[in-house]
Amino acid sequence: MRAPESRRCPVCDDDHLHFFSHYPFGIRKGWVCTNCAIRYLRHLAPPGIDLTTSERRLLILCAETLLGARRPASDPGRLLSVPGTEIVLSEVVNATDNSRPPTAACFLLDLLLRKADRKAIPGDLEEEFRARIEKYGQTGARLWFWGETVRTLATRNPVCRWILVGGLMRLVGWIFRQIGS
Amino acid sequence: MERNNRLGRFEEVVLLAVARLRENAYGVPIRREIAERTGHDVSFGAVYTTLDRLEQKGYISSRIGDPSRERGGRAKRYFRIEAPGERALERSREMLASMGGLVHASP
Repeated sequence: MRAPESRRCPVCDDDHLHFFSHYPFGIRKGWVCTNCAIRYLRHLAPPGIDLTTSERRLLILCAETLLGARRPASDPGRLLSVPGTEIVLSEVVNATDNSRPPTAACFLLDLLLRKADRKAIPGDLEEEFRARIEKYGQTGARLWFWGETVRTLATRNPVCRWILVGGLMRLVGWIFRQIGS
Repeated sequence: MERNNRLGRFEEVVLLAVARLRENAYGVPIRREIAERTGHDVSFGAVYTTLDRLEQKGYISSRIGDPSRERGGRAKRYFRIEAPGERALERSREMLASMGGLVHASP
């Protein structure tokens, strides 16, 4: 996918844009130049430029694309941490999109879990998801991941639990009203 | 014995799983161990809630390991049983044994 002629890199204002990036649900779309993505990944953020949160997120997502395209075969287990964030990028290029857990569910976990849980629980879910793909296939594993995401959020996040219980009570109330009328 | 230090049924199961797994006690194997031994499919949320409670009581301790590729670059949280946890398990075992003795002794 090519960048439009009029767009410029949001970090260095250069006009050689290469990588397309997006958030789940299509909330954010944008372009960034290859040089900025590489420099940022190599802990050499462009000098004199203060990155905003959205630019940083954009770069992280672009960098994932970049790593996916250029992972060295000699060093498959290499991990890169992104400076200024808690995110560690893994170079999982051999994995197709189907072998990765549902992006929207992962996004919800990252968004709604407590900071202390954000590393271990999504990692455990992803590890179990990969094991289940072989046993139950793509659909079964994805369904399990979604179910487990809801169960985990209901257990670990009081607001989610309140929303789920409230919604369930409303549903039960509606069913009783339908039966009564 | 204080009420706060009593072991609940599920707490005991989780503590036994941590003790049994030793160095490899993190979320996935703990959950699998519980599912295999008890036949109940428990959620990660329930397991972690119990593990947090056990840690607060001082029965277990945790540390963050290194991130790995299989987990999408996320780290594991390893758990280890501590001396108070071992004592609590022992107390629980003794209590069950004495209750079992009462059942056999009754006419």
